[in-house]
Amino acid sequence: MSREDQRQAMRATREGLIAELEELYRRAFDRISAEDLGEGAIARLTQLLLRSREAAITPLQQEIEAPLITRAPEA
Amino acid sequence: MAETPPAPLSRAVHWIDLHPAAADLRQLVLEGMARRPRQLPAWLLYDAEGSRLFEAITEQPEYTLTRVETALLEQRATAMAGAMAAGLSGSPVLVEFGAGNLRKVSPLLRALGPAAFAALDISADHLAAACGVLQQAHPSLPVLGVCCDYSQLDALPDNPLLAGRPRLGFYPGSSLGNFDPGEARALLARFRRLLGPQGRLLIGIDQPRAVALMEAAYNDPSGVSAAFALNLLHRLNRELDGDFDPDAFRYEAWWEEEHSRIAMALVSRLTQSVGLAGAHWRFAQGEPLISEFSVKYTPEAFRALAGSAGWLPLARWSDPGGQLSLHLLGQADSEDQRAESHHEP
Repeated sequence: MSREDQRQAMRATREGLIAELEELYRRAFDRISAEDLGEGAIARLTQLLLRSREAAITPLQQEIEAPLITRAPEA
Repeated sequence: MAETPPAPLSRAVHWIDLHPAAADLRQLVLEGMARRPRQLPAWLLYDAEGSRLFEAITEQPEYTLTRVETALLEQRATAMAGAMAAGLSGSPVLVEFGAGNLRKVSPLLRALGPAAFAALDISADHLAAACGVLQQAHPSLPVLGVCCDYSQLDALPDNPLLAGRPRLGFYPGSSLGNFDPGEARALLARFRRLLGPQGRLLIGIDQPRAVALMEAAYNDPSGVSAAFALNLLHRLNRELDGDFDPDAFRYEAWWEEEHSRIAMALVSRLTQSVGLAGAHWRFAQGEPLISEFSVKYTPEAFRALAGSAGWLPLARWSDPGGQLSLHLLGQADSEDQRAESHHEP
């Protein structure tokens, strides 16, 4: 696999993970929106979900695609 | 004497552009900037980039409303279409106000089978693209795209697609909440006039719910809501010779219990002077420029509002979580005198 292919594969994996995580959080928000949990419990759960989502997805979104170095340069 | 039946309609996308002139835009912005707090019309958010960003907002995990409304339409379209068309004389045309991406209307079109569909929206490029996609999905349906500010429209365009047929309105997405209650009442009354004596209106209305969920929906951690609001400044710079520095404003959204609404604003990070539309405007540090309100109505509050605009509630469909309702309204002075029915999936 060439370096460009590796970069593209990494990018596809990263974007796929983001999509899967967002779908998971969509279901979570849909669930707490549909249930009658009370204002206080919903507020706590919402904050937890927001923090959890940010922690899970932001590093994947911010990943800088630096050139891959797979071996030391030849002398 | 029997009425002449409407002529057969051609199957294509027809197009009418009534876009507000630049002079109107300048006047509206001048009026809005002079208000306290400063506030610009919400429709200004929806240029091509704004429309794209709004679609991205609706896909955020925190923004549940679009998913709920779309699911409700998909699940109940047959019942809704039946109630909308009950007792009408002739095949109706369906008119969507603020058509956006037209995704929500498809189940209704399939269930209703109208003679034609008219889509009204402020964003010409977005509407034209959406009409093309819709035409492909419903190839036998004549489609009319009308680029306009429907909140200022006095009459639907004189077009064969709309002539001589009962008109059914569709206004999803709780866009009515972007207007203050006085403006919302006037808009509902305007829809009555535009839809005519047999007119009925299916309208989506968000309801108040847990504050944390509402505030999260309008301020997603990915920053898409912020980008949507900040795009307004780019538009003002481009179209009205403004010199806003978007980095000098931050986006905020908060619930205002006394008005039953979410307020969305660009808040000045510092004391600054901004040039726009040939004038200079001073912003204090922390001063908001309101980009949009989203008023939430309980079913009772919305029924009262609609009634004050001459509409009669006919039916209501809502989700089990009570996030929103789709209300079907009939003309209060027509034969639509049945009691309102309520349905939950």
